Amino acid sequence: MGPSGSGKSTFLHCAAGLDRPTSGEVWLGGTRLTGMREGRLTRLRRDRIGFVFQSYNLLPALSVEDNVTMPLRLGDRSPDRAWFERVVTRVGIAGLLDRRPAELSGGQQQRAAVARALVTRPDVIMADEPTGALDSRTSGQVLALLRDVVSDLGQTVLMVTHDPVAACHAHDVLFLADGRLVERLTAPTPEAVAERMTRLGEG
Amino acid sequence: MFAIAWKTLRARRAAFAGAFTALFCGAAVITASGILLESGVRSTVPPERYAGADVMVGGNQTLRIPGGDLTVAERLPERVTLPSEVRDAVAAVPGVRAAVGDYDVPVAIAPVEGDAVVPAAPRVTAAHGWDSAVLGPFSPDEGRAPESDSEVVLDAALAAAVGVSPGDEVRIVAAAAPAVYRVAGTVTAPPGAPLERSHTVFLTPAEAARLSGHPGRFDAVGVLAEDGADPGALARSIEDAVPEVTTYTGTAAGRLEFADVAASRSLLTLVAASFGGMAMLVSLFVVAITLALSVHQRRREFAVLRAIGSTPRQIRRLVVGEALLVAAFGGVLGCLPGIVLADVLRGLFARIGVVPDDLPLAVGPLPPLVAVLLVAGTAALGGLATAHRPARISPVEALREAAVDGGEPPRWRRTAGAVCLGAGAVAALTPLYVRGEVGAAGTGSAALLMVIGLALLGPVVPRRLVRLLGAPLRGGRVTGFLAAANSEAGARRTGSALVPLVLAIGFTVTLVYTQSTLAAAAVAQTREGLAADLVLADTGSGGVAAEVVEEVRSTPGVAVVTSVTPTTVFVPFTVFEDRDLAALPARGVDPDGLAATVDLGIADGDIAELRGDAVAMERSQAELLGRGVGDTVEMYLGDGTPVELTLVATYERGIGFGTVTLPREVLEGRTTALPGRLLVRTAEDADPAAVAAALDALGERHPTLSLVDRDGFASGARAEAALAGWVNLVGLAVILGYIAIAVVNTLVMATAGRSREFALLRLVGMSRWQVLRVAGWEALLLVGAAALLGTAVAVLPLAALGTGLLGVPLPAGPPLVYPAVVAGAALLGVLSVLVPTWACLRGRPVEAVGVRE
Ligand SMILES: Nc1ncnc2c1ncn2[C@@H]1O[C@H](COP(=O)(O)OP(=O)(O)O)[C@@H](O)[C@H]1O
Ligand SMILES: [Mg+2]
Repeated sequence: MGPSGSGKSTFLHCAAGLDRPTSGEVWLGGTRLTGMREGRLTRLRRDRIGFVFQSYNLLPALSVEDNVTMPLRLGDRSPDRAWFERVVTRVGIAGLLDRRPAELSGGQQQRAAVARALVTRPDVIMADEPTGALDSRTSGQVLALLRDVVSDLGQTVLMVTHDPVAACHAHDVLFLADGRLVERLTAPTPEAVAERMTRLGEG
Repeated sequence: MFAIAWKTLRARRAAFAGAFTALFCGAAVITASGILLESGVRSTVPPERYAGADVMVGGNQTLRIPGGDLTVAERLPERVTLPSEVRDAVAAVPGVRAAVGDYDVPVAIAPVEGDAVVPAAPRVTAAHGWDSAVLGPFSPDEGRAPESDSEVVLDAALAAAVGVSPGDEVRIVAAAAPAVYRVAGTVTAPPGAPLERSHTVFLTPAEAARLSGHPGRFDAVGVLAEDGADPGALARSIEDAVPEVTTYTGTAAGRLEFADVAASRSLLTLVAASFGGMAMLVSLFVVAITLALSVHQRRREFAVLRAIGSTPRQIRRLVVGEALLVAAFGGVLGCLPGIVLADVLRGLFARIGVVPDDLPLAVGPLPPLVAVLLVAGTAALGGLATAHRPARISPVEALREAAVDGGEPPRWRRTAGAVCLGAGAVAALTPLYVRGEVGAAGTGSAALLMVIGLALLGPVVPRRLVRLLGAPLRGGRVTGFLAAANSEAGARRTGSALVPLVLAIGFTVTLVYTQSTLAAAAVAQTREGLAADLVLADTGSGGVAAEVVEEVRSTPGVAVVTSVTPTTVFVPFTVFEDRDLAALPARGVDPDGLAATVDLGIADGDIAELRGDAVAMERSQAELLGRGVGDTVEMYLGDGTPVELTLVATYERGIGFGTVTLPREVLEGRTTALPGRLLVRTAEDADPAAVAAALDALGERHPTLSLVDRDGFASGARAEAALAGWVNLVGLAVILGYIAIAVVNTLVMATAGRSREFALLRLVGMSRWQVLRVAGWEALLLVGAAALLGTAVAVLPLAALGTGLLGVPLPAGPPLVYPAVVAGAALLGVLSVLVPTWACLRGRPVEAVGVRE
């Protein structure tokens, strides 16, 4: 968490290997991303990281099913059918697989995007304000989904969010200000998160 | 990746419609030029006089030079004759029952009193030796064979046309010299050959040999095979045994029999090569632009793919895969209209009269195949080039950039653009160094190169230009202001849409005025350079014999007669170590008193020295070949005879009078070419009217000669230049049509890609009419910029052409063409923007905005 412009997206992008920092190094687990060639970096990202964007970023020409299995196709992996079924059922888009993104609501599109991130069984899912474009009810559902993914599927999720309540679902909250990690809160409560956010906003 | 490409393609047919159209039309144009080329090589009409020969043997009509590679081959315009030893050698080949030497003498036929019977084209009348009648075979109808040299046998149809029957007399005019013959008999047409293109006159073999002007050298040798011999195999063994000949079997013999078929062969090959080459360049260019535009419009999609884990390689494969799929459809489907297009072109050429009406197209599998492959290759290359951008940039940058239309083109593109502009400028200057048709051919490529250069430079130039033109609009309240801002912000889109418009204007203006300038130069040079008072021309009897020239010369009051023999010479030259041949239009002239009939505009040397093995050459051509007065020039005459001549003079008026001028004696005894025109200068003290009357009277005795005055001659030159212009313009019309389609295509694509933007404008409260006005203003800005750039592209080539050919830096031609082209392009451009805009505005804006990009 952090105020707008504090570098949350930039941090996430760098950590995911989507962007390259001007200085310093990025390590993912034991792998050094800095200096890696584009092709290898992409493959690594594809296999080990799932990314969920604020603006869904589904491919309009493809069906929901094709969108979800796209990372597997790109990696030349055949979809593990059972896992795919489990993911789409869990995410709640099992009945929408034949549709095109344009035929879905925002919440449904973001669920499809979460499924796409999950389908490769990545080490970590990174989500950049995944509910930023959704109304409060739908965003509640998507946040619950992400939380369940952690508990049910044992998936690690690294998420940027504005909502102190949503943040409390997390095990840990990191605070960013002016491009630096400034604080860490374990087992957060809404009040504690909100209080820190206010403080950072002032500073 | 192919599966994804296929799915994307199916889902977004509309997005690919533009690329499809470009590839489809490109394939059509390339197929059409391929078919013309193949027809030039293969097409023929069925033989008539040679219908009964098993194998026909002719001289080798292809000129190759030592050291030249396979592509260095020129078709000889004059017939390569065969000495009687060749006939004997052919007769000795096993399987040959008889080998008949044939003289083929173009003649005109006339009743004893009255005008020559001139058959309608493509029909020709020719005299042959009676021994060659077996090649038809012609069978006797009435009467008997010619027994003395003053007897003749006519085909029955000809006898009827002239109105004679056996026992009557006719006049036969060969090389403008008439002689009276008695009709000994008539013959009927060979079985299966209804004589639709020829009239035949049979003389005794000796008389035919005499009239041909080259007794002992045959025009062709006809072979009758022994029973059971296979003509194809026999033809091969003849070519093996007698290497200096070319054999023809079946319908191919029509190419040997009919000069017009042989001539259209070179014309079609030439047209196909120049038009085809240009068409190919243009279509490759258009396809590349269209692909770039479609990739640009889908940049967000590619950004997403990058973000979810596509490697740059995969993006490239996707883009190329899509392009190849579209190319496969467009290419294959485009071949069919290509065939139709080729037929339309053939029809137009036939109407102009440069190709016989009855010459069919040869449609083989090769041209469509080549077209599909070329189109696919272009699509792959274009895809690779345009995929570079979405493939390379980092995903986050891609997603961010996707929102705005920014980004400068990479450095290599700017460099390549500058190189193209420079090359275009150099090409534009060629008419200054090569003053003739060859130099003029550079202007079109110059314009094309400069447009390609502009396209490579990317949005840099359009942005500046649009800012400049849009400045007055910025003061406007809503629509004008928005239009100026949009055009500038969307410079990349504006640039893509602009390029085809610039091409349309620049290319059309350049090519049309190039033709008119060439024609004007030809007419002006002819008019200024013709010092003769009167001109006699032969029609239908193959030329003017020496004795007729003498007869004209001895007419009272005639001071000088210059006979002019139109021909072609081939000069070998070396570029970058490669040997090549230049085909140059040439005139053989009588050197005596030449200065009194023709003023060639001597630049250097003395034209009076044009005697013996001498030659004069247009100045820039001589300079190009690196020869000066006194140097030796080796060249090949129209039938391939090699000669070494001394350059005695260079001159300026090469377009009006031919690039090369030879003394008649160089041709005499070497080639079969005869003078077609006599330039007559009357004596100072003679009464011009009396001389004209005397020559008119001479025309009575020589029914194929006609007299024209200077103006008539000049208008003849104009008609000839116009004909050449038309031939070029027919090919150009197709290219221009293709460019017009490209203009509409890119503009519609670019506009349709903005439906969301238009819907947003509606949502913030603009009326449909206002949005339409914004689009209209933008279109006008675009068209204005295109008109400026198109004109700029045409200025340098045309100024150089005018300077080179006319001496003033201005092209000649109808002044209205320029505004008409600009107005036409403007109308096309504005409509191509407004119609799709209107279509976008029809729905409810909320729906349009709701649709994801
Ligand atoms: N560590 C950093 N050092 C320097 N600039 C940074 C750093 N992190 C972020 N920025 C810059 O700050 C701006 C806002 O960052 P962004 O990640 O979009 O913020 P947020 O997502 O928190 O709103 C960007 O222009 C980014 O380049
Ligand atoms: Mg952010």
